[in-house]
Amino acid sequence: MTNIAIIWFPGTNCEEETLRAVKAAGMHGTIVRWNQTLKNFDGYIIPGGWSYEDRIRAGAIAAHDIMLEQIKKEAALGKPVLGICNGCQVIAEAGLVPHNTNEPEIALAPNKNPFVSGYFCTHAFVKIKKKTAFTLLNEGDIFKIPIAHGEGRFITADERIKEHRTKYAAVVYCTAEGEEKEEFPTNPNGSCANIAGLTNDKGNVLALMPHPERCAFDHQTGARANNATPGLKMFQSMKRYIENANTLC
Amino acid sequence: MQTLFVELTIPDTTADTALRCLQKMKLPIRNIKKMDMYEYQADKDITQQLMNTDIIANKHKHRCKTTLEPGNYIQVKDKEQSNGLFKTLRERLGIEVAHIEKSTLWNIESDEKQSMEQAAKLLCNRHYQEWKVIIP
Repeated sequence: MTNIAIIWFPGTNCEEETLRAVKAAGMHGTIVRWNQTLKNFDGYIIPGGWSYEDRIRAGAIAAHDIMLEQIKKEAALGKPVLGICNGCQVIAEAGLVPHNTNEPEIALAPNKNPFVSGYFCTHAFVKIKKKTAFTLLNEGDIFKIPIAHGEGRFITADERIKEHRTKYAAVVYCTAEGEEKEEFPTNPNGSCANIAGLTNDKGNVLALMPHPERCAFDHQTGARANNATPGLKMFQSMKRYIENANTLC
Repeated sequence: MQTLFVELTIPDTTADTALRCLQKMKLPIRNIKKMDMYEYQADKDITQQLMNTDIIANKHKHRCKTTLEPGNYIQVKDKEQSNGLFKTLRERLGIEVAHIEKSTLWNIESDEKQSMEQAAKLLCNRHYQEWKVIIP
């Protein structure tokens, strides 16, 4: 059975609901502590929370943890790696997206919101822009998904990344009709190019600010498409990707 | 421009974690301390007013000062500053501040100058922050 490691850093607090979503998608999941060794896993999820209490910066300390070195090696082999919310910040700080580098190519900066300073919690519409291991939904699919963060604004100072940012934008904020308006409330945090989820060249790594595990069950969301909630479909996509020998189909 | 430094009098877990992480990165750093740094402009000296707000400092766990001891400091500042603090000080607390910026100041104890640059890679994400060395 597909075996997923759900990484638990000190301060991670979404591991249980992530595990429930993994199981609901038909996979086996194990919560792995940051100081344990990773062995025989098919994929990795870094869930939301406040790893290391967001000390220095959201995700900065966890990104330098030895656990991330192991995950980066696994990502280079094509195994799927999903970072959700704080996990997204960890992945970004570790330099896993859009390329597997030693230094961050992007940042998750504090939200820019005309009304609310700091932490912002709502449901946002997003659209699938690119096929990844987690978004084997149809490109252009639109669904509502919870967001809850204070630092969710994708930003980069690298001109090269700026030029290609839409190439790696796998999930973008949009209106209910799919229009990618770059203003609030469609774009809830000021993210460049409306990015909600950023991927890599292979599509096996996804840094995703919204929470798919919070819209994976019927009691969490009224939205359904093809007999699955949008969140669950992301985890089902991960399973399908692994079953297809780590290839996008 | 006036300046106020605010440091914790209780153990600073963020500085402790930063030190452990930098040492794990094999940087020859003996110790690191953290301060909040406020740079502000006003027609009169508002330092005492700022110190009395429990937003910037809580006298039960913070110490405020206007000068720095000798040492090597790295200042890390967000390139785009939120106006939340400015609005709170002016509109809610009635303090006549014309401009205020907040940053983090790290006092790094190391014999090697290169360590500062290496440490900045952890302490600053250049995509939305900037850093500079301050030697008082």
